[in-house]
Amino acid sequence: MSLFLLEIRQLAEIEAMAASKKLITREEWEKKLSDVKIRKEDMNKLVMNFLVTEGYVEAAEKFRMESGTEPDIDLATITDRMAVKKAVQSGNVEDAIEKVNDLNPEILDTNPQLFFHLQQQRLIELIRNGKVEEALEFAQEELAPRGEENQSFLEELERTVALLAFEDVSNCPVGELLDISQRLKTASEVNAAILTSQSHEKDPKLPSLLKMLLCAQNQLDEKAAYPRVNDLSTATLEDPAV
Amino acid sequence: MELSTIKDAFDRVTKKQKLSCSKTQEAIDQIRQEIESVLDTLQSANNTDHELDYKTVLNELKASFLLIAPLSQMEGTQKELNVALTKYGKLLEKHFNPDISKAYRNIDIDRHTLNQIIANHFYHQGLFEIGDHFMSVVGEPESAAIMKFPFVEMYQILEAMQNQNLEPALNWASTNGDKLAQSGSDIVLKLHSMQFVKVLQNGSREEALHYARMHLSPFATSHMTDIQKLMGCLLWTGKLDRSPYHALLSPSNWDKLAEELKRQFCNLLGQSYNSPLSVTVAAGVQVLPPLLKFMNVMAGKKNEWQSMNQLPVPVELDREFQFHSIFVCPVSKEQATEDNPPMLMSCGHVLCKQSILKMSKNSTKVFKCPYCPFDIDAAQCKQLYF
Repeated sequence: MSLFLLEIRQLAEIEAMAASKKLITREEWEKKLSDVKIRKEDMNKLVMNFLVTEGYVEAAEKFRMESGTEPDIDLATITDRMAVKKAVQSGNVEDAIEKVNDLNPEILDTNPQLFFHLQQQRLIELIRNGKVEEALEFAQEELAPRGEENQSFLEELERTVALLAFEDVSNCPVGELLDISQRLKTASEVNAAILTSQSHEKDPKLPSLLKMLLCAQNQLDEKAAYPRVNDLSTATLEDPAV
Repeated sequence: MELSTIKDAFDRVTKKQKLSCSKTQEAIDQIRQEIESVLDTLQSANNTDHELDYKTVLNELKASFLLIAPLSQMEGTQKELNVALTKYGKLLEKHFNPDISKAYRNIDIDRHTLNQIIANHFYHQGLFEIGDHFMSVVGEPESAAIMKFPFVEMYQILEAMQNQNLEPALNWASTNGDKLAQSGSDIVLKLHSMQFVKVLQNGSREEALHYARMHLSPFATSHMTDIQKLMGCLLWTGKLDRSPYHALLSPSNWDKLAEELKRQFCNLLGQSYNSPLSVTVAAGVQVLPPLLKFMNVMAGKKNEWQSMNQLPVPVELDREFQFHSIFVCPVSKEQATEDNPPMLMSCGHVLCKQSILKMSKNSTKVFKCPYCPFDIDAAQCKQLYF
């Protein structure tokens, strides 16, 4: 009986909370939004930042010409950066390392973790191509010495070499290392390192703003019912559920 | 502390014994010197054809012996040694009562069972000749072979392992793989891991890789971390002793593996790792002192002791001697778990922890045992171990 009473009390509290939530109509909300002023140049800078960071070099060039917004780095370097990224994504790691060194030799010298991950990716590619003996030789010569110096490198190396214990890697617990996602992860790490070396943020600002929007909406949901943006791709305001 | 008293007494005995020994040696040396001196005199008289009165020489020797007085020299120290020894003996008797018969009951033990227990102990230790001899002496040679057979196989495997030969162990493991897996043992992987390292040590990386694919990969779902480490060893072929995995080469690994194999082998036989006799003796050694103490206090009540239903004094045994079967709480009707273990109440009845906490309102109240009129204090309940 007491449990039943408790349930009723909780329901009553929920209803009271719902009733106490402030309701904001579409008109009110749109008026509030129209009062907020955003400068066109700021918008353009955000778009340019996104295009540059993500490596859309042609789009960035056209956008520069059309909007007059200057990128904060030389667009020619984007082409080089994207070439490195593409090389890693297609499994051509040696070529990628060469290109990074051409771009800026200090990047790999000052970032041992990145260099290790590139070498690890190279080992993965050798294993993928069934070059077992070559893979073991390469790992012994290039990666084992780094593993001796750094415990986390050693553990990653062990995980990678463990691929060789399985003739059928589809049943292998570390089989994800052979997925394309692993290449993308390494490519993303190289991309970030090049951007950092160019004194540029490694992540574009636009996605961060969208995350902040979602976060703010979630917090506001607790206090009010208001027209929400549920679909970021259309940014349509949807009427509050009363 | 009792032992320090005994040690002091023992030290006194050794001190007196050394003193007595040196005094005796001293007296003997003096006598030898006198005799050698007389011999020299006699020798020189012979060489010079000089007339010598032998009687006088011997009388002089006798006189010098009386002067040395070896007996009285040795007597004092010997007496002191005897006193110290007597005291030491009495002290030992006082602290270590050799008559343990006071602390056990006269129970008729089935001779056949006792013989089996003793023989099992010998076979368990790998003392096959002694076991066989014992069984033939007690007139039960026919049951010896049945008891001995499984242990013979075990010791053959262990002997091979001492010579770093894992073949017999691996054969046994593959034959009993399913049973071992059911009991939650990972001995099969441990044996294969050791063999993998051995193959790699012999310098063949290709062979080691083939071995890993054949024998290690099947354990991937449950022991991937171990497999990763072993695969890492491939990169240090020929220099494993200077690698991050040098610990895998430690000779102690063989001892640990042999011990684990013995444990699992006995487990599959339905036997304990230690022989029942050694467990009984070890537990008895722990229990004996309080019982002897009790019997000394109750010296005149031997008959009462013979008829008691339970031990007259609380006896604390180490955890390895506490054996309990699966327990279902009679109050909650639930099987005990690690979080909700069985608890022994002061009256001797057992409930699970949750029931005791519930009945004692979280250890705040004394409650009545559901089986007897005893009042139970939750704080005095003791956990039982499986």
